[in-house]
Order: sequence, then structure tokens, then C-alpha cells
Amino acid sequence: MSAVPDCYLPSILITGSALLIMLLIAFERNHQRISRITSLGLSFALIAQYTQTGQPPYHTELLLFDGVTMLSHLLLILVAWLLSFFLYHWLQCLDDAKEEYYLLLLLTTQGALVVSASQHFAVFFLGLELMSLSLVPMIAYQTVNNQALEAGIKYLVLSALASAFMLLAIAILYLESGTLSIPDLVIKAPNLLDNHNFIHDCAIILLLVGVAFKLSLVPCHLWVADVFEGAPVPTTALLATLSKASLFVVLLRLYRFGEWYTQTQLVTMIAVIAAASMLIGNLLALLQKNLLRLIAYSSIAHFGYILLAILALQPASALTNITTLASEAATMYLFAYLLTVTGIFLILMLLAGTTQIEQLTGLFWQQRSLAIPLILLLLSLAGIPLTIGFIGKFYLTLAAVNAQLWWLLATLIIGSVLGLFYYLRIILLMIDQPAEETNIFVTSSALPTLTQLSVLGIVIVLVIYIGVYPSILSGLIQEMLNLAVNQ
Amino acid sequence: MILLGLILLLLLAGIAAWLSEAVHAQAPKWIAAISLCLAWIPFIPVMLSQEHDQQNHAQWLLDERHAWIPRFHISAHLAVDGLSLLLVLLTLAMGLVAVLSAWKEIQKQPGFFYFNILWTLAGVIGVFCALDLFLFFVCWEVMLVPMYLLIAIWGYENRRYAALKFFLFTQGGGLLILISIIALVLLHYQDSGQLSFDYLDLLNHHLSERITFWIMLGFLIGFAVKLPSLPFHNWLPDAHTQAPTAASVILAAVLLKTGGYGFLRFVIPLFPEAVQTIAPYVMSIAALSVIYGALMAFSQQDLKRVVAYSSVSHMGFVLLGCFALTAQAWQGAVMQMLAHGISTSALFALVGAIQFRYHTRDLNQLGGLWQALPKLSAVGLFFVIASLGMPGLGNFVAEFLVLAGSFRTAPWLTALAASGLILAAIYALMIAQKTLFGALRLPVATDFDRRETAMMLSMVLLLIVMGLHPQPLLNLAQQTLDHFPMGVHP
Repeated sequence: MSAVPDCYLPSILITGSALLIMLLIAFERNHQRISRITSLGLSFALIAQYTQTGQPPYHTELLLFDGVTMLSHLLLILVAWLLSFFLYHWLQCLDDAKEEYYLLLLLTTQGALVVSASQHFAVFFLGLELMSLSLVPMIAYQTVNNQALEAGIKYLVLSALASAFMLLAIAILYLESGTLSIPDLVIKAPNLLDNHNFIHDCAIILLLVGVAFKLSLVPCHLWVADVFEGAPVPTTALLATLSKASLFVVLLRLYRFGEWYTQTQLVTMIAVIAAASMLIGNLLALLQKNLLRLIAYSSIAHFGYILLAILALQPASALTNITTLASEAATMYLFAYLLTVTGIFLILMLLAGTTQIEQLTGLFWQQRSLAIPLILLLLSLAGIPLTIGFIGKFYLTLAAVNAQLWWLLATLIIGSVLGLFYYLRIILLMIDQPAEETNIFVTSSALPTLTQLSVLGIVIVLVIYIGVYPSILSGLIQEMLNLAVNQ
Repeated sequence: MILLGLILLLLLAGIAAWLSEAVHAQAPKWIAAISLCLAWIPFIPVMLSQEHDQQNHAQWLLDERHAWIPRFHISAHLAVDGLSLLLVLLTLAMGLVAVLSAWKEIQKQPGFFYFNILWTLAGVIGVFCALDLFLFFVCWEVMLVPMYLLIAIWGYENRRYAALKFFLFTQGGGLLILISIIALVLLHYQDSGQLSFDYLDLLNHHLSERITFWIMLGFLIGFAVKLPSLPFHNWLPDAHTQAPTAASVILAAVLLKTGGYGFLRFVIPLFPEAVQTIAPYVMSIAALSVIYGALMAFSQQDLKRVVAYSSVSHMGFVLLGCFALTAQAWQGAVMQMLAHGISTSALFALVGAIQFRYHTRDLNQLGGLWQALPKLSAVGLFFVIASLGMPGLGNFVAEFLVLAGSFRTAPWLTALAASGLILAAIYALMIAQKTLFGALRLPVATDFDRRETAMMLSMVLLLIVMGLHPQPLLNLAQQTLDHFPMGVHP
């Protein structure tokens, strides 16, 4: 077996581009060339990842490439690929060095890929640190901006704390079971789950705290608004998408392989976290005037919703025997949320300098080409039909009803109505006629280029097409997840 | 392909109307009007065949199915029976009225305006035709967004608040319906091993578990928000008052009817036993709605609010009729939906015409319009009288049937609801007195032109025909009611 399995190919391509860029920076700084190499590398990785669909699962001691991993990899690379086209213009306006940002982008993507494929705590932690440590300089990239520096330090300290929690948890789990492999945890130490071992419970809680921090779930959500507001928009986009999605995949894996659903205490705890995230996230966003803080709070709520899919993984109380439904729902919602929120960040990058929602007043009448996509994406976040957001919400509700999570569904309804309130508030502002015509959104020098508009077009087409005709994605997800089950 | 084609026609015409704005400012309204006229064509053969063939017992006059989401065995299953046909035709007719009443009023962004009108109508037709519960829900939500935009962009002073309230109420109700649909489908799957969102599959399946009651309640509340019935009516006065005339017309004529349609199509046939348990309570709420709506209508100063609250009162009769669970009351409920659709949209169009001329809807500022605008006032008097239930007009037939049908099951509640008719007379005559009669306080303005006269007279004609010869409509409605699962009293 000398051949490297195909599933490593996307990672090799991304790491290869990162290395190439590092070498090129050492010799000659050429912003345009490096930007192109990044986009090209990610394009190849995306194609390579897409050709993997339908392949049987492959796993080693450290990494697991099953349906969920493959689909999440596809999604993560897609997000990074979309963002890479928007970096050039933003970086061109900065005074600082530009090229390293691409390097950090690729490393973050690589970290996210490793995290979401990991089935071993050692490699999970490596990937996590690769991702977190690349994100810190990206948050504080503009060293002249005090707010960005503040956000960077906040993220560094708190993320280090979360990592320390997780490391302690991993150490305790190793102490108890003698293994770092996630699937082996249950096999090697089955009695841990039955009799309540205090130390083991502590470990699980510490682990949960670490994950909740990265997913900014209540009560570990306090950092998210400040960092989203302070960080540059592209970094915020990465924080909201890559970092959260990859950790979510790990949580899904822990929940399933670790058989957490057998422990009522743990299930209750996650249910409370989910309900609190849905309510508190939406309430905090309700009257928020800063656009980025609003998106930060809404992302808390969205990850609260998606926890429903994890909680729905309980075979015991299921109404029906559609076993993969919960995983399908999680994957579908992840696709819907990531795609939509990436689109929103792309538009925010085009509307450079827009931080308050009042600044969007009258956008619909002046900048149709940006306002209509933004309205569609906001409706998708709110889960209105004919957008991918609705399909995600439909899957989620289906899974939650199947698992009979009635109280959480009630919370979901309240949360969705609250959420709709502030999405509609933004839309109302956009369709309002401004009193005076002085509102100029995009300075003429930074008019969206053809590439940017076509990338945005891809996102919108995906959001609407999958929203209207979801069978293309739902079929793919079902096929990939059933592959994993049949193995 | 006919029904899907019809919906697509309206959706595409909406896009065409929006784009045509760039060519000519008058083009969008012509596109909207022509597409709404074209939409009648597929129904002509259906109506003709219905006329000749009274013995035809098949429920579905048109039935088509297109593959959509195979993962969950969801198909785009569209079909029309007597009840849907009546409501689809009402939608198309009142859509045309809405377009005509906006003809001169809308100058700002006409393309986008007619786009929203056509998309709302397409959503409503989808709701009336969908036999797949997923498709039904999608259409249910699709009709909301354009309506929201209509209120939020072209509405009056307080439009933002009204639009937001409208959307939040209906969306909350919508999510309840979604959860109920999913729970119903999964229960069906649990029993039969077949995953299906199809109405007909779910209809043949007998549910008896206790959870059925809660599923029914989810549907019930979702539709009651839309109807609207008493505790959930709060959005309606604001939405109606702030919406532009055309949107008010569509809101009153067809959007409210989707609630009543939901009861007759889904709640009653799908959950016959659970409905029987809850029927007395719902009927009490309905009677209260009738009286409350009438009392509130009487105490308003804003002409549009009077009409809006009168809607609450009239839709109370629909709710009463649906849950009396007798064939006669169901007939009455269907007739009430049609008659209210026509008479109330006419009243909104009238208020719109007054507002267009005098820029006010305040009852205290209006008065003596008969001297200034005789044509408008004559038509106005007709519809006011119609709405108080004058024999010989559609509304009387409807209310009579509802009351006669309900009296058998709940005599006291029916008597209570019947007192709403007296209250209706009070507020209806108040409208007539305060606006049409008395001293003229406002300058003379131009009376109805030919477009408005034709539009109003055709609605007058419809109401008279409905009042004097309702049998064809009753036959069509009966064609659906014959297939109701529970024992229908003759």
C-alpha cells in the first residue's frame, strides 16, 4: 500500500498551496500572484473533494473520512474558496503586508479540515490549535486598529482557556480509559457511562465547555459579539463558518460515538444549552443596531437550533426508524447556514465600512444588485421557503419531531419568530426611502468587480436553487450518510 | 401541467412586470391584468363540464402530480375540486379587482408592486390547489413575503409596524402548522411504514392516538391566526388599515380565506374525532368573534379599521359554520367566504377610492359624499347594505345557512352569534350615515370613471347573482362536502 488514499488529496493541495505561498513570500512579494495561487489551490481542492463524493468511507487510527466528513469538507472548502475571491480588493486597501493573510486563510482551512475529520483526540487538538492560532493574527491583522487588537487578544486569551479546558478533559479521559481514540472510548471503558463517575462527568463537562466556547453557545458566548465587531469582515466570516462548522462536526461525532445520548444528565445539559442559545441569542440580536454584532448573536441562535439535530440522535425515543435523519438534518442545516452566512459576509465586504444597520437605509432603491441578494439571504437565515434556509429548518424540524423534542420545538418557534423580527427590521430599513440622497454605499473606486459579482451570483443561485429544488442536495446527503451506515 | 402552468404563469408574469418597468411605466399593470385574465382559460372547460354533468362523482376535477423531493416522497401534487375551484376563481377575480383598484393609485415603483401582487396571488392559488402538505406549507409561506413587502413599501403612515406584526403573527402560526404536518406525516409513517406528505394518503389513514389532538390543535391555531379568530386577530386591523388599497383587497378577499379553507380541507377531514371534542369551544370563540368584531367596528374612527373589524365579525361566521359540523353550516361557511370576499374587497376598494380623492379615512372628516360623488356613494350604499346581510344578496344566503346549520348543534351559541347581525346593521348604517349623508364638508372631486364603475358594477352583479341563484355555487361546494369522511346530515 504505497498509494496515498484519494481522500487526502484536498488537504495535500491546500497545504501545498500554503507552502508555495510561504516560499514565494520569502523571495518576492506579489499580491496579485499570491491571491491567484490561493484561489487556484482552493479550486483544485474543491474539485478534488467533489470527486470524492460517493467513495466508500476510509479511516485510519487518527482520521475518519465518512459521509459527514466528506460533506463537511466539501462545504468548508467551498466557503474558503468563495471568500478567497473577495480578499484581493480588501487587502489592496490595507497599508500592512498583504500576502500573509492568504497563508493564514489556507492554514485555517487546513485546520478546519483536520478537526472535522479527526476521530482521535491528539489529531483533533492539533487541528484545533492550527485553526485557532491562525485565526488570532487574522483577527488582529490591522495592527493600527485598536479595536481589532482588542478583539485579537480577547480571542487569544479565551480560546487558550477553552483549549486548556479541553486538554484537561482529554487528559482525564485518557486517564480513565487509556485511549485517545474517540470510538474506542466506549469500547475500552463501557462502565464509565453506566455508573456515574465524578471525574468522568467532569471531563465531559470540560470538553463540552470547550466546544461550547468555539460554537459560542450560551453560556460561553460572551466573546463572540466583541470579536465579530472588532475583527476584519473576512476573518469574521471565517470565525462564523469554518471554525464553528468543524467543531460542530466533532461534537456530532462525540455525541454519536461516545454514546452521550445514553446519559440523561448530559442530554438535559445539552438541551438546556440549546434552548438558552436559541432564546438568548435571538433576544440579544433583537434590538441590536450594529450589523456584525447582530450576525454574531444570530449565529448563537443558529447553533442553538442545530443542536436540536444532535439531540435528535437518540434512537430510543424516535417515532420512526429513519436512522440517518438526525445526521442528515445536521448536515443540511450546516450547508444552509454556512452558505447563507457566507453570502452575507461577501455582501458586507462589498459594502465596505457598513457597520450600523441604519447605513443600509434605502439600499434597495440605490444598489439593487446588492440589496436583492442581501434580502434573499436574510430571508434564508429566517427560514422562509424557496430558500435553502427553509430546507435546513424543515430537516431540523423533521428530525426534532421524530425524536419528540416537543419543548425544544416550542423554543424553536419562539426563537424563529424573534429571529424573523430582526431580519425583517433590516429588510424594512433597506426598502425604506431615505430622506436625502446622500447615502452612498460603495465608493466608486471599489465598485464590485465582475469576479466578485459572479461569485456572489453562485451563492445566490445555490441558495435559491437548492431552496426550490432540494433533491439535488438531499439525495447526495442521503447517499453519503447511508454509505457510512452500511459499512 | 395545467395547475402548475397556471402558477408558473403568474410567477413569470410577475417577473415580466418588474422588468417591463424599465421599458414603460404603464407596462406592468397591463401585464398583470392580462396575465390574470389568461389565468381563467384553463378553468372554462372545467366549469362547463361541471354545468352539464351533475352526476359526476369524482372528487378531483383536475389532478396532477410532478416529482419534486424524492428523499421524503414529496411531490408537487396539485388538484382542484369544487371547494378549491370556487376559491381559485375568487382569487383570480379579486386579483383583477386589486389590479384595477391600484390602476392610478400606485405611481411609485409600479413594476415591483405588480410583481408582489402576482406572486402573492400565485402563492394563494398554490395554497388552494396543493394536495401535498409540504407544497401546501411552501405556498402558505410564499404568499406572505410579497404581501409583507406590499404593506411595508406602499402602505400608509404606520406601515412598518403593521407589516412586521402581520408577518410575525402569520409566521408563528405557520411554524405551528409545519410542526403539525411533520408530526402527522411521521405518525403515518410509524403506522404504515410509508413516508408520504400526500393529503390523500394521510386522509385514508386513521389516527387515534392522544397526540392527534395536539396535532389538530397546531393546525387549528395556525389557521385561526390567518382567519383571524378572536385571540389571534390582533394583526388584522393594523395590516388592513396600513396596506395600500390593492393589498387590502387581496388580504380581505383571499388571504383570510386560506384560513377557512384550511379548516375545511385539512382540520375537519383529517381529524374527525378530535374536531368533535373541540368543536363546542371553537364555536363559542366563533360566536364571541362575531360580536367582538362588530362592537369594535362600531367604535372605530378610521373607515378602514371599521371594515377591518367587520371582517373579524364576518369571519367569525365562517369559523362557526366550519365547526358546527353539519352539511348546511359548511355550505354556509363556503358561501360566507365567497360573499365576504366580494363585499369586503369592494368596501376596501371604495375606501381606497375615497382616500385617493380626499387623502383621509377619518369618519369625522368625511360626510355628505352623496352630493359630491353620487356614483361612488350609490355603490357604497349597496355594499354597506350587503355587508349587513340584506336578503337577496350573497351575504344573507351565507349567514342564513350558517345559522340554520349551527342551530341544530348549538342553539344558544347560534342565537348569540345571530345577535351579531343586529350589531352589523348598527356599524354598517353608521358608515353610510357618517360618510354618505349629512352636510358635505369636503370639496367636490371627480366621480368614478369608467374603469371603476365597471369594476364595481361587476361586483354588484356577482353579489346579486349569489343572493338570488346560489345553487350552482352550492353544488360545487357540495361536490367537496360529499367526500367528507364523517356522516353528513342532509
